Amino acid sequence: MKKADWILIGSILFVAGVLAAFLYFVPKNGSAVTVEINGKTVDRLPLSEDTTKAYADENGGTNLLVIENGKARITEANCPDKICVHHRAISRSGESIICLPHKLVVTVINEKETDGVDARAG
Amino acid sequence: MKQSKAKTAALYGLLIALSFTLSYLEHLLPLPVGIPGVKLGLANLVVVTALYLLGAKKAFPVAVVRILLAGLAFGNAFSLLYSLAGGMLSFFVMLLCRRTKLSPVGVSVAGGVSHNVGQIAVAAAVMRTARIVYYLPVLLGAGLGTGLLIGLIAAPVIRRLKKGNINLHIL
Amino acid sequence: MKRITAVCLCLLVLLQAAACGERRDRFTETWFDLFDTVITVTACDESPAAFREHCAALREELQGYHRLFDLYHAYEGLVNVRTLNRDAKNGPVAVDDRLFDLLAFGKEIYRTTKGKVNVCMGAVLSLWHDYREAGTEDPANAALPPETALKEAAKHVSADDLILNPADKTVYFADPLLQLDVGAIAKGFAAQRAGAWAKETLWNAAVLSLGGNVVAFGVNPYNSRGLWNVGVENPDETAEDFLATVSVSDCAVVTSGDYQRYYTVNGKKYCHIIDPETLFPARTFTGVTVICGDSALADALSTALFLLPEREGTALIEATPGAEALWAKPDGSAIQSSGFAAYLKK
Repeated sequence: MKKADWILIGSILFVAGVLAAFLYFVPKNGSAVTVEINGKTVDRLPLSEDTTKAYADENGGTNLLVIENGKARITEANCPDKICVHHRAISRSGESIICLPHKLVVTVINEKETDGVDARAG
Repeated sequence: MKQSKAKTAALYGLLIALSFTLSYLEHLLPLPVGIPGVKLGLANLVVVTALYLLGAKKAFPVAVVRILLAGLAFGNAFSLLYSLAGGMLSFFVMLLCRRTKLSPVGVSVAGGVSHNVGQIAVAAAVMRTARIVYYLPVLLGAGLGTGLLIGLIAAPVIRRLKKGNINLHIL
Repeated sequence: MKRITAVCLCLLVLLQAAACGERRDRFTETWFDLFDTVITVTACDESPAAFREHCAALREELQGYHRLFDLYHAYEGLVNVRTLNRDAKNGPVAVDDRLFDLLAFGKEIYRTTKGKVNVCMGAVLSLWHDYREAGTEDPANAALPPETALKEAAKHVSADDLILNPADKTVYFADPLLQLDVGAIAKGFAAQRAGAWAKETLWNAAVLSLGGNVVAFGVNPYNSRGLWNVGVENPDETAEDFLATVSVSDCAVVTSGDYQRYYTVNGKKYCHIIDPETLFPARTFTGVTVICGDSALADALSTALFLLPEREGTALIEATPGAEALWAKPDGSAIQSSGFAAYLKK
């Protein structure tokens, strides 16, 4: 075996190792959220960046979405039931917060993986 | 030198039969690792050797016919497709590597790894999921291991066939 | 050269054969205006346009069920639950086959669940409904329905007084104060029928969720085992994760839980699932999930198991072939029926 062979083997091992570290040890949280209003996807935000954004439906209903530390939650809304505001912060692929009065759904998606949850019972 | 058609046919028959036999052997003794796509690739031994002793033009049909035969005999349409993709990529990568400073061992390693990469690329396209890349690091390592093994066997074979008194001119 | 051409041709043919197998994209649509709940549809289809078209067809199908099973609105020229509650005491009323089948299923399930699921409990449930609505609107003055009123209403809930005539598909209330409420089975029944219809006419693979009544069918090409992953909502809303995630296909997953619809009186939660015996919400469990082949049955069973004591519920589920259940208790623990674990996502 020549020196070139060892270099080749070394670089393959290196690439495999880096890939493995990246794929297997990065936590499987969702990577982004989608925001749907009345069934239409209106926004898509990465969970990795802290953001605050307000959404309004055509009837003046507003929800304030806050993304912080990789989790998304609704901090303010002018809906009557406030279920969306009381909902825990979401970060796992497939989780969602629904504001029924404003027909707003925030869903955590994982852009890399499609093996999250396809539907929710309950 | 010009060869007779009969000799060429006999040569191909011999090499294809040998690689097909190795495929069969491998089919009988699967590696117990439980990961789809990981195998020893014993038949690649014939392809690597042929590549060095006969050149690309003669090694190529051996590689393709071996994959088709083994795929039809031991696999299904999909496994055949994966093997073909892997086999073709592997062949051309080895062809390129042979022109570099790599020894037959390095060439075989490159072939083993690229075989797995080709397979996984086609699998990802067919299944329309990127999730399959999760197998990639494992398959890279496996390709490295099997390629190394094959290369370490192929290297002395090539050396002896070249140096020895074996009547190479029929090849 | 010829040889190489031949090989290339071979490759081309194989590639195409493999490619036309499952080459479909996956889409999702959400609706808010049917069955008073959130409906999501996820399916594999050829193009966004085809998916939208198929969704519109499914929506129309579901809307048919929605109108027939609607308890609060009447629709011009349509006999539905609302108009039956108004007219069926005066004499037999002919109804649509779908509504007749729902009521017939309701009578059947009344027997199998030992009376825990009763579509004739409208008088009691409407009391709870009115007090819950008022209590949600004005939480400071939230109150419970008076027991005397509940007991009075409970005199008119006999399933025997719901007279179904299969020959001419008519419905008649032998008790003039009888009121229907199909809430415990309507969504499951509609999901079952609409799901079967969608499988027949629209998609090879899809998952529909009618407010937590999930019907999944076909092979999910985006899952390594071809199954659909269904997250079971955790009744404990502070919990980080789903209570469980199950992988299913060609079957239904339905959850009944106290967190879905409730109001608070004097700091105590009162949910929408009312025990026909006590006339009050049950508190043994916080949620029950049922997996079985038929969504209507799963819906009814999940309500029944929510109300039945653990031992009786277990006996009922073990006696129902092909049905499995997961019970969540108020202390956060959960119990499973004997075969439930096989459905858990690997």
